[in-house]
Amino acid sequence: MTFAMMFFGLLTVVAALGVVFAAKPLNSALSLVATLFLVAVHFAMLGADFVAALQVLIYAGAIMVLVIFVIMLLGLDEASAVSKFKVPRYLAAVFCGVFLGLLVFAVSSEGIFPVGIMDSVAGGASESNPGSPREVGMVLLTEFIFPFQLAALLLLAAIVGAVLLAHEEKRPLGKGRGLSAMQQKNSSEEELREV
Amino acid sequence: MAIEVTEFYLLLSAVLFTLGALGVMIRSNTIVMFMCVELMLNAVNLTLVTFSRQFGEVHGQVFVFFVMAVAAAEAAVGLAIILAVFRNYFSIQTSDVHDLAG
Amino acid sequence: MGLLEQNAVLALIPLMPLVGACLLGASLGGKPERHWQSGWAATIFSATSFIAAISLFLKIHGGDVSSIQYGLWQWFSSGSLSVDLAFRMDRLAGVMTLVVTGVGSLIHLYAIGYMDHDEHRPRFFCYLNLFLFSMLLLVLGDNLLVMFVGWEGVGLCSYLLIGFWFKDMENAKAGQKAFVVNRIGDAGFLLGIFTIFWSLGTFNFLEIENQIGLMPDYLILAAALLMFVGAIGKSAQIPLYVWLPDAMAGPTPVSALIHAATMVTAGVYMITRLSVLYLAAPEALAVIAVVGTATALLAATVALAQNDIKKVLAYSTVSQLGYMFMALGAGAFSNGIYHVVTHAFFKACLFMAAGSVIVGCHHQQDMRQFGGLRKSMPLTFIAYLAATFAITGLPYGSGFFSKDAILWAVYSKPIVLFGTEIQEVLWAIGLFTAFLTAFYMTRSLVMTFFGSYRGSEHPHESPWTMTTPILILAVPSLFFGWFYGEALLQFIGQWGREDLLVGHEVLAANPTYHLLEMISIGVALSGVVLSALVYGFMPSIVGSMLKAVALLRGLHAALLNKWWVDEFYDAVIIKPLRVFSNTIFTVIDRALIDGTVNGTGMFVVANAEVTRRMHNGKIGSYVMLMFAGMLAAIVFWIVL
Repeated sequence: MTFAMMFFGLLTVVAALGVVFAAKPLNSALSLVATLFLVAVHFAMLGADFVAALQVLIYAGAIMVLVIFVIMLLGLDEASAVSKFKVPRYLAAVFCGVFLGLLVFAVSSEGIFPVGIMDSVAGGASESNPGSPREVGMVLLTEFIFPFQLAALLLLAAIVGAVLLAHEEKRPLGKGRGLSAMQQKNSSEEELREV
Repeated sequence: MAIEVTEFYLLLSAVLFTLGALGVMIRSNTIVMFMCVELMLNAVNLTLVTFSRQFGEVHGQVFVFFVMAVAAAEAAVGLAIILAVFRNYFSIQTSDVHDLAG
Repeated sequence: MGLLEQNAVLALIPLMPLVGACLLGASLGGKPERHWQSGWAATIFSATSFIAAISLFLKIHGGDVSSIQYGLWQWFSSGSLSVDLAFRMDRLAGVMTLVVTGVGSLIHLYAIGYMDHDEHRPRFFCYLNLFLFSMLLLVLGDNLLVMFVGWEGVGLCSYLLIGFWFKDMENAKAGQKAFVVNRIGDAGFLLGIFTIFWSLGTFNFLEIENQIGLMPDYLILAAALLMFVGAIGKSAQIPLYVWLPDAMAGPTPVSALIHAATMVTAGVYMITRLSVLYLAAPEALAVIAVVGTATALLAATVALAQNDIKKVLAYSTVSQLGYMFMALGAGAFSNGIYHVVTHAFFKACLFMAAGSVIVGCHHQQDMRQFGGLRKSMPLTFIAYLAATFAITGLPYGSGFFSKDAILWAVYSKPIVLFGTEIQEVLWAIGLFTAFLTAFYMTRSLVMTFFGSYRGSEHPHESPWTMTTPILILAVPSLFFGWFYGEALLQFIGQWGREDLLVGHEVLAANPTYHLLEMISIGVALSGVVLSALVYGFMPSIVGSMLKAVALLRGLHAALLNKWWVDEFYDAVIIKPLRVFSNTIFTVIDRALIDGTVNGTGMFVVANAEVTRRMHNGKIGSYVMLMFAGMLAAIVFWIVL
């Protein structure tokens, strides 16, 4: 563990705290951008060059642009209380504390992972560089070619779905065809009765 | 030393994941909740990369790639849903969207 | 067995009325102007059955075969048990079949006239044919189960026909009463069947007869008494006779066919059919004799004071059924059947004549509104006179022979109950009942046909479809005993195993017999003469006597109200039952069962009222719960 890791790790946690506790959504989003960049740094330090690049491109670049775009578009950047329910908030904090404790316990104890896994492979880490785009690309386009194509399909479906969902209908909600047709029928019946 | 790096990143990702989960639970703004989910995903990604390095295997990073693809899809659909919700309720606060409250 | 075999005719006998019933049932929605056809169709089916019965009976009568059997198919089998839908006609069943189909056909013919203008004629004749089918099943079945099906079938038809005019609540209630009271008896009958089956493992009559020795005595007694309970219900004996007088709410042909001639004699037939069982249980026979005698006396006394002509005949029927059970109790089964046959003739004739009178007087049933009808309804009068002559036991009517045979059997046969011989007491009561019978029948005859007409409507004679059957039946009422009585007794006697065979030839030399016969004739004659004197020449004397003597007044009130038996049952059985049911209803049904059901619902609602608060519509709280669940799962996993 180097000093850089420690430093960037602390920064990451601070940025993440910003995401969760910032009052304004835009501040949250900007904190998240920072967090994502910092995670990309961590990826790079772990030797995963390709993933670090992707992280910057996809997350910090594409997704966060989308999020911020939506925030700006809808004009939602108003401060909001964290939650109106006090008890659940503290309860959530307690749950999260317990969860974190469990995770720390899991990482630090010998008992959770099968004995010896950590030690047996320990050392082989930094000899080759498995995180280079070449290495990842080789595996991705050979062994994982089918899931890769599937991911493409998934993205396509997501795009279509997003378009469908975001597409604004001409008719305001609550006046669907069936309802208006029914109203028309009722009114015509009333007319008949009046006649 | 190597084990310490791994453990450090595992702890870091645990903290990030817990923070993300806490955010999902206590925030009422759907966009912020969505961003917290992203935070959780990143924590998991960090774990995957850490283990990938630990075991000298590239598969972990391949999984990170897929997680990112799914996250991108999720972002597209999720934000579209947020848009649609906003259009109907003129708000994206979960406290305003409670038609299914019992 | 091929259908072409001659014995297959046996299956035709019950089948014809069934076909008729089905056809009539299918035609229920038909046009009103075609309704007249239904009566003729039913009569033809019934008559076909009668002809088939004659053809088979002649074979048995000729002595070619002792019994005819025909099995249609195996009804069901279970383990070693196999029950066939099979028929058997022996001497006993043959006689009964002839009576049922013969009298039945005549009554069908009569009903055409009686039910004329009724808008529900097809339904009526459908039921009537169905009844005939059930009755024939009862008579011809070769095992207890087939008999039981018929037994229940006649009960059902009785219920349907008593309540035929169900729009009147009283009729519907009478039907229900008949059905419910019959159910009590049926329960006993079923238990009796179970007892026999439990002990012998068979339902077949022949096998029961052959294996009766294998049954332990106490089971024989139990079975005999239980079966007798069934007979009590169906044949209207004390204490279950109360339904029969109420059953007069039905149309008169029904009263004649079901509640006088055939169905009510089913109990007598059943006991005779199982005579082997009863001969092995003398105590049961004694009980039967006592019950029969008591019923005969009680019903005869009630008949004295009734003013409704059908009620008189109804109580007379109960009384005559009592006679039949006296005969059975004395072990003289063929005498009982003899009386069944003669009674079927004269009582059906009486009922149909009464029906003719009722129709002639525009549906008036009160005898005080009759009188002098012999001039306006001569044919009916002749028939009623003949039948009355027969039932009063005046010499040489058919009732004289059959009743005398019964009285002689009772007198000459030791009947032991609780260690005392009671046959002479029973005989005396029987004799007294004969006097009462003569008295009340003459009373009804005189009140209806003599004197001057007291009603308001103009009486008229009935159509030929009604008078013909009455006149036909009047003939055997008068002469059957004279010509065929001996033959019948001999004929049935050869079927039965009773050692007692009462015939005039055999007894001609016995001075006691002649003495008893003389006494009997004297009693009957005195009853007739007294009644004719009182009601024919001094009608006012009854009223003045009632005024003068308080005791007579009380007695008259008791008789008029049928000894308050209905009221007694109402207070002792029906009211407590109602209270009991009501308690059950409120406590168990309402409180316990409904409470449980509603409580479950209320619990769920209350529970939901609490848990629905978890669904507050806040996504954050949902996520938190999910998270908590996940945590719990992890902790659970670690702890384990």
